[in-house]
Amino acid sequence: MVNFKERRWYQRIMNSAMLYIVLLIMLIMILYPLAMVFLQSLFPDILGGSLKGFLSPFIQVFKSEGLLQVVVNTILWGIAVTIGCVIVGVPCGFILAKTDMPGKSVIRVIYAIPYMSPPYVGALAWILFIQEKGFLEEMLSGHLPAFVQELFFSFWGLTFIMVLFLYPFTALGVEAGLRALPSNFENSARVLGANRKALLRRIVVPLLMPVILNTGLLVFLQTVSNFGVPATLGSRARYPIITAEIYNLISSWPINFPVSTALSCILVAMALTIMYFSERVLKKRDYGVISGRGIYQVYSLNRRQRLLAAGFIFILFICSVAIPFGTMVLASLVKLWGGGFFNLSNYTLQNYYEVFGLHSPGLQALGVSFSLGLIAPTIILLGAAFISYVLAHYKGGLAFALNFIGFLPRSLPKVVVVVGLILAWNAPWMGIRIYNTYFMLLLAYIVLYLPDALRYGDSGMRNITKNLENSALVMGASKWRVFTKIIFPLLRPYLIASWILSFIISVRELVASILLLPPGLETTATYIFSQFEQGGLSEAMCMATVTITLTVVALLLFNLKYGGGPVQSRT
Amino acid sequence: MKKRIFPIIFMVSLFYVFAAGAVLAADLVVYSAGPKSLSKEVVAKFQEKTGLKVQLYPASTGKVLAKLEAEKYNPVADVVVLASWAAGLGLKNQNVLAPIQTQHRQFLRDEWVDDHLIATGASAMGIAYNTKLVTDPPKDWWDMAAPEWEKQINMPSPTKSGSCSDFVTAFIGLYGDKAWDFFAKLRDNGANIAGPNNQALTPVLTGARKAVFAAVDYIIYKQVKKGENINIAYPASGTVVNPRPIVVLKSSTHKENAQKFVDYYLSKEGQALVVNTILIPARTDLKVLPLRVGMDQIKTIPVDWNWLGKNQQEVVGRFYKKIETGM
Repeated sequence: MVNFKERRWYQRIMNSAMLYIVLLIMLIMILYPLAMVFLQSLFPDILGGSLKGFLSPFIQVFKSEGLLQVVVNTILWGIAVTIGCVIVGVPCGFILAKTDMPGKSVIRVIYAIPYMSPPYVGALAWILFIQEKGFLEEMLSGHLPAFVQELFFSFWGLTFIMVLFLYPFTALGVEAGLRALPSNFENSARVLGANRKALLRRIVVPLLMPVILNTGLLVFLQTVSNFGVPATLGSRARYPIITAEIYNLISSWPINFPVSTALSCILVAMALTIMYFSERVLKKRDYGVISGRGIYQVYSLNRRQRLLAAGFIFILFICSVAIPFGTMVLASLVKLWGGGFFNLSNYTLQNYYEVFGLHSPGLQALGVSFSLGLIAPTIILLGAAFISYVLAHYKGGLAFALNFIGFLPRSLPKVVVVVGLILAWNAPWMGIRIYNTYFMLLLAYIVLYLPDALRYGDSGMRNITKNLENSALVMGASKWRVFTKIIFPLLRPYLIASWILSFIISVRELVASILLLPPGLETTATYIFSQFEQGGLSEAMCMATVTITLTVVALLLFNLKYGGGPVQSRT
Repeated sequence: MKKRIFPIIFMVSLFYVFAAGAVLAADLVVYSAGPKSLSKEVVAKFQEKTGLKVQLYPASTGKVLAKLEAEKYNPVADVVVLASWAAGLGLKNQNVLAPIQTQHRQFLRDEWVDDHLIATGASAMGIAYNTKLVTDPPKDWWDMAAPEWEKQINMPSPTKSGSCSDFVTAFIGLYGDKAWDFFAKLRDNGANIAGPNNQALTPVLTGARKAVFAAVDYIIYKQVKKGENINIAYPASGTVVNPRPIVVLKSSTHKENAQKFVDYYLSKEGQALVVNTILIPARTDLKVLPLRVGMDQIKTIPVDWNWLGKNQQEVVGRFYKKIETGM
């Protein structure tokens, strides 16, 4: 009897050991850094070992008009971008899902390109297009009305750029939502004598409202979390936004870590509120509609409507693809700035030789990014496989909590996670000195992109029947053997998909690189950033062209192979 | 085939990890502001001569100071070169510097040597202008807020550029509220105050803007040498010559190598590299390039460096808030 009990106790420990390993990983990698952000915002001198000045960073934020203005700015910007995305994205989704518009695959490509590109590159290219002596001014031979620049380098320009890069979100959401609407409602309404307008107003729009609301919330979240656009265009527009201000506070002298953590906490509060409402909207979404049925109503457009739709799509194409990416490529080829953009002899491939020549800083930056892009996803893949396997086997509070923590970095602004990592690994009590080395960057990439892999691992685990595993266990296989011989091979397709995605994102990652860059290293994104800041416009655009081309091609290949809509990847 | 992919990825990853590990083992870590080309050259020649492995982090003064502050509890750097004497004094006041000496002391100017910092060279501030667009060179700082310069002026941010932060602090230290009002007027007149020195300069080179207020002279001379349409004017009321200090951190675990580096920087060979960057050398036995003016030809305003060392951080912070972002 005693013996039996002891065995059960022993088994329980063995069983839970894996769960505790996962707990330990999550504690060190995710919870500890985030706790540091929170703690430093409360006790500004906690790293110095003192608890003085409780809450003073927050008091500073709310007392200083400037900082409070930054918070207000961010919220206003988020709202404006969300509205913009609804205005642009809803018609786009409607055209794709509900009309007989020809050339839908072309439209999909048009919005896939900005969707898959990092917004900071778009912002930089647009700056080159609009700024004084830029492409636009030369196109109009110097007759660019001053208000265009004034408007662009302002709140409106920031909103414009962000909408261009985020509207596909809304469009995809709305398209999926519309496709999931079964035709019963529309048919019934029509039988009852509703005309087209009434149909749209009384049936389609109300049913679509939750979808619009939810994508809107996600767009808002993406906007306020975005770092690239505020850091590039925002500083030129003199429109400070929280993410960029956090970056300034910890990277520009005189620095102020405590206030940056207070701003981080405010940003986190915003993100969590949004997530909460988004969950609620998703829950309420069920209107008793059986979703997922393939039959749905398609409206045929008349000639005028088609022209209107085509014009709309064309403008989107010009603004979100042709101008930014055209400018990017042209600027990378320009020989002499101010030497004319319509002068063929002013174009050269020389810039590329210089940026990517042997031992050049550009090539080194590309090398660093590629090495991170290879190593980080590999570690993520192994970690995600293990964690999803373990978490799939446990129910109860702890497993649920770990699941939540694992996904947390996904919904939090990256800049906040990175601030946490700096505080955590640069703390005086930290025995392992990886801060300021390559490994810190590696760790940051892993923390930031593990949640994406976990999502894949999670959906993979759901599709693996427990029977396989149980049979193996009955036959006497150890848990480890089950994991390596059964689970891992079955999970592999999901993991490879996540590997490729993390690779692509890592290659052009901006936030972690710029904040954690150890001495003597550069990544592609920091290279683009610093070259642009130092006036090396062509060099910056060369690097941008190469990384965008590489990653977009990789993503397109990936989508061809693994199907599904374009996969989201943002920096 | 498919099974081979993972081992290959692993091998490549391992290779990279080892390569990265090799980079980490350095004999000396140098954070250096100022011209990247100069710091890279000095480090390269120093490595060649001594066989020591140096890890260099080249950045703007603001970035270097921010990094030092962020690493307060875990210092990594051994030697720091800044483009701002006042910032060097600020570090000294924070008590993070080791005392410093050099065998080349006799060749150095007295006012450029302190017990904790030694100048490696110096630059002067002026008004750079596009010679194609401006025929009549600007005369003085105070003229630059006139309507004729509306939306034509760029200025580097003192939070990024060390030399500019020295200038702004010295200017405000001397003129007080008059200087604050002037900077506000300059900004309201459409001056663009942002970024490090080069970012302020580029639009003036391309002709998008006419002049850079508070430009570091050596950068301008470099462009003059290249044949660009640009020149520099030193204002009549006087300007700031700011020595660029080299310091050794108290926490350094490579003090001996640090001393070697300091001595190399101040040796004739090291200083020749400074001269070639068109800076003013620290050694009095070397002449500036004929292209630029020397110390004796620049009219300076009186600068109380000790006041600057104590107040620079606050002044720059206030400048960023009040003038740059207009908050």
